[in-house]
Amino acid sequence: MTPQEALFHHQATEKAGDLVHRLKLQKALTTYATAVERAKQRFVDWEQARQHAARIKWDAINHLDQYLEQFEALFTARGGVVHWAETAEQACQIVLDLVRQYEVRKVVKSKSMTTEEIGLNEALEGAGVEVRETDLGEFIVQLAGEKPYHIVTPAMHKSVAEISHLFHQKLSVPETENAEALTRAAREKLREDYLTAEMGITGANFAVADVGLISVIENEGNARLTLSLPPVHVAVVGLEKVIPRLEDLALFWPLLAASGTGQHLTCYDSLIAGPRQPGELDGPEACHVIFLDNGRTQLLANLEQREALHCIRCGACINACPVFANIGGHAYGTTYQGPIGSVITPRLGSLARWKHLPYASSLCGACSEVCPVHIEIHRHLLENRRDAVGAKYTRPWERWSFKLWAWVMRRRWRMDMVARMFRALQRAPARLGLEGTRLDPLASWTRTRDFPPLARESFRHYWETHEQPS
Amino acid sequence: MSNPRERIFKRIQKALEITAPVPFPAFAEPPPSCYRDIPQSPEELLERFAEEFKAVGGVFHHARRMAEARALLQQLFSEAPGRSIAAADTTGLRELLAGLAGESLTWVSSRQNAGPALKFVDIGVTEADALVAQTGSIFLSTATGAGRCLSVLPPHHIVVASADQLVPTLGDALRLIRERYDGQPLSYFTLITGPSRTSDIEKVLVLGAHGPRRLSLVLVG
Repeated sequence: MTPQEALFHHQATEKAGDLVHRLKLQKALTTYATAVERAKQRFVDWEQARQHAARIKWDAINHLDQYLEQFEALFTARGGVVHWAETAEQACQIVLDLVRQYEVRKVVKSKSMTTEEIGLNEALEGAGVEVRETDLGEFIVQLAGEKPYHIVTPAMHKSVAEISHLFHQKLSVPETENAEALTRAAREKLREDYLTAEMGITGANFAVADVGLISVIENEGNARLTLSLPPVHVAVVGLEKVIPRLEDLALFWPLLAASGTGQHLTCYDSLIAGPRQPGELDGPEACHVIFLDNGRTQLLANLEQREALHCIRCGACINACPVFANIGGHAYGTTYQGPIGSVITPRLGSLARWKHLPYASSLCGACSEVCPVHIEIHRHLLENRRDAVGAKYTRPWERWSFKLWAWVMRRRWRMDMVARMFRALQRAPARLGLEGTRLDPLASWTRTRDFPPLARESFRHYWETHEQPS
Repeated sequence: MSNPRERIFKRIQKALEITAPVPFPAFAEPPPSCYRDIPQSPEELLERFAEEFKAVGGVFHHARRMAEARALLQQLFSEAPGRSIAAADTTGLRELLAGLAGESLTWVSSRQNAGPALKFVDIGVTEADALVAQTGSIFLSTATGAGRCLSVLPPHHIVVASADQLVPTLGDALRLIRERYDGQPLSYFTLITGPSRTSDIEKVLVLGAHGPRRLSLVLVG
């Protein structure tokens, strides 16, 4: 068992039994689901919108080299700089070089999962740079010394009381159960940071090829301030974020808002075409886009799963996942949680290390059903399981028991025989007083679940011995 | 000697030697909008915009003529006496705001980086590029002389626009932006849909997270 898997089992077990945690999560997920249903009603045809989006993303990903070159040429022509990073380390190094070049001591950041993926905060802090997360949710988890709990709502797991306590401890804000007062406190605290930071770092939701600009969408205004006030703007962008045309945003902005938060549009949908241009009032003097590979080209080469690069990081599959609703976001131990995270994390990194993730799914398909760009997430989870088994990443006893199971299931008489044996022996542990002990073969199942006894008669036997309806 | 860029492109091109199967057939023509009920007539555009703009928390004012607009703005300014106001330096706003706010009004010019100087401003006044009726959104580019910060740093953002700037859908606004500004040196555009907000704490909606708490629109004509 890899350390990642051991940690996952430990955290998942703990969280699944934490009823307070579950209640907080249920409340957030219910609010989300209601809003999304309303937002979908505005669409002429939600299914058609999803198909259209899938088709546009297919075009983008299957002509990725052309669109990236087009973006680079246009963005560079306005004075922007485009960098290319093959790995997380290279991407961090590019930012650290820029930090040195512009003599940066403080950085303000707006929410970016790509920078979480490459561990940018740790790299910057290691170089002595002060890093300030400005999205309220990110600000909260940064204060608490935690990782984001969810790619869209990073502080979903914290109650207002917990946040109040945290703000009181770290910022000397009076305790309050009022979300507005806490938001106000964060606003006041961060105002000065935007004005004194020498660099603003953001991600990007889309990189539009035919006009060479990036799009950053948000609700709070912190991203706008981050990319407007400091003299240098750096955007770390996964190279799969490309879309072909500016007009495609008329579909992707509403789609992402509806699936992400249940809004018809988020408050601010910004387009950034480069550094401040002659005649403009304000804006950074330098603007850098860092395109990140970090395993994405590996996923691109996997024909079966290439469409996983269509993901627009809305979080809908996470919110729909019954496993997430029980174990929460931190248990996964990954930057990208939930179903899509369990598809891409093993593919961007190593399947040997993360092979347990695709098993954190009931394969119910809720993820694929809600995905706004029509990714068949549950199918890819199954492919990850198949490949993990094929590569013999599973434990020997697991392989043998499945071989045995397959052998039994292949013949009717073997299956019937095993069922008869089970029926005869199922009460034995209870009769012998072994129930729940280490000698009870069902103990690990019945610790948290019921195992209802098999019926006295099998359905098949009943069917054969009773009169059948004509 | 190859560099990261070359290696990345080589890997992409190698991977793309095989094209993935097309998931869905291409749509002959992109739909004009993914949303229902596209408003058509000028009356419909106006009515729909006002409705959507209010629904996302904006305050909508409609003035038939200049004098009426001036009276509305006078009232908005006087709600907060002594507050400092900054406006984008355009011919239209110069004409409209002449003599309205006296000493408390500053015209923001592009001579030096104006952003940080707006720190103490209470009200930012800008024009707009287009108004999207279907979503109640305001499209704003730096071509309006508003820069980046004037519409986000002050706690109250007032937009002055005219009725002929209304377009039916988001797609129309994006097309208009492309046609109008093709090849022009502009670095920033933003689509504003309501005042700044957050629901990061227990999904409770709070207005005025980091951007303006108030968003007002004075529509002239």
